[in-house]
Amino acid sequence: MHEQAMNYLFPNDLHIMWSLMIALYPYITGLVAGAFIVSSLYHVFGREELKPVARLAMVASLAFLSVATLPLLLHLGHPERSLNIMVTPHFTSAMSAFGMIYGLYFILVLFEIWLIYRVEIIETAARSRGIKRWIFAALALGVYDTSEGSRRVDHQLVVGLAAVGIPMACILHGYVGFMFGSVKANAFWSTPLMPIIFLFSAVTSGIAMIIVLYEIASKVNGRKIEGGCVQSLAQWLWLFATITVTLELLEIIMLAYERNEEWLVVEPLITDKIAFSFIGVQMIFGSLVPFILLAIVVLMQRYLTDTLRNVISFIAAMILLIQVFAMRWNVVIGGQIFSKSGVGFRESYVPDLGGLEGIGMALLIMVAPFVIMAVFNRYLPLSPPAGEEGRSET
Amino acid sequence: MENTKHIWRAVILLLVLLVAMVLGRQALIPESFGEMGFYRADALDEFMAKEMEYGPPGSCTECHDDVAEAKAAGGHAGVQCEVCHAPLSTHVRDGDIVAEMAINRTWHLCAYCHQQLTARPAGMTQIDLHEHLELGSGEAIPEDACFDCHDAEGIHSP
Amino acid sequence: MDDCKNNEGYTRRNFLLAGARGAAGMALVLFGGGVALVSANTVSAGGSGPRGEYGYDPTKHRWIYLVDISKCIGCGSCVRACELENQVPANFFRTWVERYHVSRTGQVWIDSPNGARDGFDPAVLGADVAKSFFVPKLCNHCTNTPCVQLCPVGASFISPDGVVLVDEQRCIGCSYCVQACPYGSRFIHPETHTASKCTLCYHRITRGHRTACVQNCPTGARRLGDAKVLGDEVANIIATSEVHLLKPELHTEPNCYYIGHSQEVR
Repeated sequence: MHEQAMNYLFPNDLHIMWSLMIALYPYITGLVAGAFIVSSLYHVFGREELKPVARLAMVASLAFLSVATLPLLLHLGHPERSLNIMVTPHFTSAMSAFGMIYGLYFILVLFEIWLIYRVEIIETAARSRGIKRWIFAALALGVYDTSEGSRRVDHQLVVGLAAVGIPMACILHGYVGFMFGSVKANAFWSTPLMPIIFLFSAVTSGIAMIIVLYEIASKVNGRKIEGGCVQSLAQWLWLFATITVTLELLEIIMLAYERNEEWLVVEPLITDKIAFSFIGVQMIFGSLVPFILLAIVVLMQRYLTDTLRNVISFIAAMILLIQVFAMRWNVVIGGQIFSKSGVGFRESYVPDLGGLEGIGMALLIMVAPFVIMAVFNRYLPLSPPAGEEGRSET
Repeated sequence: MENTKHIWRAVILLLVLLVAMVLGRQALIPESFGEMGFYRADALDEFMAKEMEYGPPGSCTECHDDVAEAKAAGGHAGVQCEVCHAPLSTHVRDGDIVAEMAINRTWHLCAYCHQQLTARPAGMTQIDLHEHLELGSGEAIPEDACFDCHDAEGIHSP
Repeated sequence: MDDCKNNEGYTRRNFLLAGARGAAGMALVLFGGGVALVSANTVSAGGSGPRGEYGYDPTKHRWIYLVDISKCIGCGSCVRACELENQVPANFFRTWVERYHVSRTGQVWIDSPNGARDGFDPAVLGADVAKSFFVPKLCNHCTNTPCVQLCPVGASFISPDGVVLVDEQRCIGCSYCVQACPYGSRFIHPETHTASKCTLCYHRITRGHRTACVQNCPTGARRLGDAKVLGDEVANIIATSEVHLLKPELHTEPNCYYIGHSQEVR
C-alpha cells in the first residue's frame, strides 16, 4: 500500500456523532444483563452460595434498566420522536429491534421482581396505613394470597422467568454489540466478534458490580460479608474477564495478522490515538492487574483470610468496572476517531463537563440507579429474607 | 386452578397494556406511510415542493438576449451565467426583479477556474497570477486585478 | 424445589406456559404488526402515478450520475451552487471536491479545504508530483445502501426513481446512518437536528431540470442521466465505457459512476 503522507478526512467527518452518552448506553445495558445473569446463577442453576446477592442483583438489573434509555434520549436529535422506533419499526435495521427487546426484557424483569417480592408486598400492605397501604395493595394487584401454594407458584414462575431471561439478557446485549459489529463502513467496528465481546464483557461488568455493591451494602448495613459468596463471584468474574479479554485481543490480533486495509487505520488508532485508553487502561491496568488479583483469590484460596479475599476481590471488581467502561469508550469513540476516508484522524474527543451529553449528565445517570436501589430498599429489603422460609421464598 | 389468581391478574394487566400499545401505535402511524415503501410517501411531495434557487438554463436570455448572444459565441459559452453571478432567485422571483444581480469584480472569481494548479487538466487556460501581474512572490494581489484590464465584454465572450 | 415436583407437575407446567405465553404473545403481535406493514408496503410499492404540482411520476425515472474526473478543474462551483440551492449549513457538505497529488514513489496527498467551497490554492508539496487530479464527491445514491437499511424508523428511504432521501419530519436524529455511510455523505443538520444529505436536487429533477451541481459545472465533469429513458447519453456511456464505483468492495451498488478513476481515490 502507498505511504500516506497526509491526514485527510472527508469534510463531513470532522464531527464526532456518537458522544459519551453512546459509550454510556452499552455500559449500562451491560450491567443490566450481567446483574441479571448473576441472579439467574442462583435462581436457575441453584448456586446456593449466591443467595445473599440474588435479590440485590435482580433489583440492580431493574434499576439500571430503568435509566438505560436516558443516555439515548439525551443523544437523539429529536427525543420527542423516539416512539417512532415503536410506531414504524424498520425491521431491516438492527436498531429498530430496540423497542421490542427493551420492552419485553423490562416486563420480564419487572414480573420476576414482583413475584420475588409479592409476599413482602402483601405483608407491607397489611401493616401500613393510608397512601402507603393503597400503593402496596395496588402493587399486589388486590390479591392477598400468601398461602404455601401461591408461594410455590411464584417460585416456579421465577425459575422459569429467570431461565427465559438468560437468552433475553444475551439478546439485549448481543444486539448492542451487533449494532456496532454490523456497520461495514467502519473498519474498527465491523467484525462478527463484536456482539460476543460485548456479551462477555457485559457479564464481567455485571458480576464486578455485584461484588462491589454487595460488599458496600453489607458494610453500610453492618452485616457480615459471606465469604463463600464473594469467593464464588470472584471465580465467575475471573472466568468471564479472562474470556472477555481473550476475545478483545483476538479481534485486534486477527486484524493485525490479516493486514487488510482495516489495519491501516486500526494500527495508528490503537497504538497512538487511543493508546492510553486502549493499551493503558483497557488492556494493562484494566485486564492484566485484575487477572493477577483474581488469580490470587481463585488459586490461593486456602491462604487468604476473609478480609483479604474481600478486599482483593473488591479492588479487582472496581478495576474491571473501569476496564469495561474503557472498552465501551474505545469502541464507540475510537471507532469515530478515524475518517471513512481511511487515511485521516480527527482530534481526539474530550466530552464537555456540562450540557446534555456531558460528563456531569453521565455521572447523574450513573448515580440514579443507586438512588433507585436505596429507595427500593427502604420499602422492600435487598438482602435475602431472614431464612425461616428457606429456598422456596426465593 | 388454585393459588394462581394473582398470576392471572398480572397476565390480564399485561394484555391490556399490549392492546393499548398496539392501538396507540396504529393511531400514530402517519397517513401516507407505506403507500410506496417503508416511508411516508408525502415526504416525496414535500421534497418536490421546494423552491428552485438557480433558474433553468435560458432564464437569463429572456431579458438579456444581447449578452447571451455574445456569450454564446465565446469561450465561456458552456458556463451558466449564474456560476459567476448568483442564483436567479436573488435577482428575479415570480417574474419580478427583487434586487440587482450580483457582480463579483474580484480576482478570486476568475481564480476559481483559472488559477494555475497542478491538478488541473492540461487543456484548461491557467494563469500564474503573480507572474501574469509581474508581482513579487510575497506580494498581495490587488482585489480588482483582473477587471482592471478585462472588461465585461471581454469576459462574457473571451 | 423438589417437594412440588411430583404431585403438581401438571399445574407447574401450566404456570410456566402462562408466563411464556404472555411474553411470546407480545412479541408475536408486535412483530406481526411490523411484518404486515412491511409486506403491505412491498405489495403497493411503485403503484402510484404522477405526483405533486408538476405531475411527476417517480416510477417512470431512474436517476444515475456520472463524474468525469479528467474534466474536473477543481473550481468548486458545484459546492457553492449546492450550498446556495439547498441552504447547506456552514462546515457541512452535500457535495465536495477532493484534490489528489501522487508522487513517483507512490506518496499520496489528499486535501479538500472547506470541501473546495472556496476553490483550491496552489499546493506546496516539495516533492516530485507524478499525477494530480480532482475528484468531485456526493451521495452515491446506492441501491443496496446501508444508510436506509439501518434507519430504525423508516425516515431514510430510496424513492421509486432511485434517490436516497431523508424524511426530516420522521428522523429521530440518532445518527446511525451517518455512521453507516462509507462515503461520508451524511451529516446531522445543526438546526433541524435530523440527518441531512444530497437529495439529487429532487425539487429540480422532478421539474425536468438538472441538479444545481450539474447545471453549474463549467466543464461538464458532472452529468445526470436517467436509465429509464431510451438512448440516454449518460446511460450509454456507463454501459459502454470503463466506469468505476467508489468502494465497490462494500457492495453498496452506487448509482454514481466515475470515469478516469485512479486507485488512490478514497
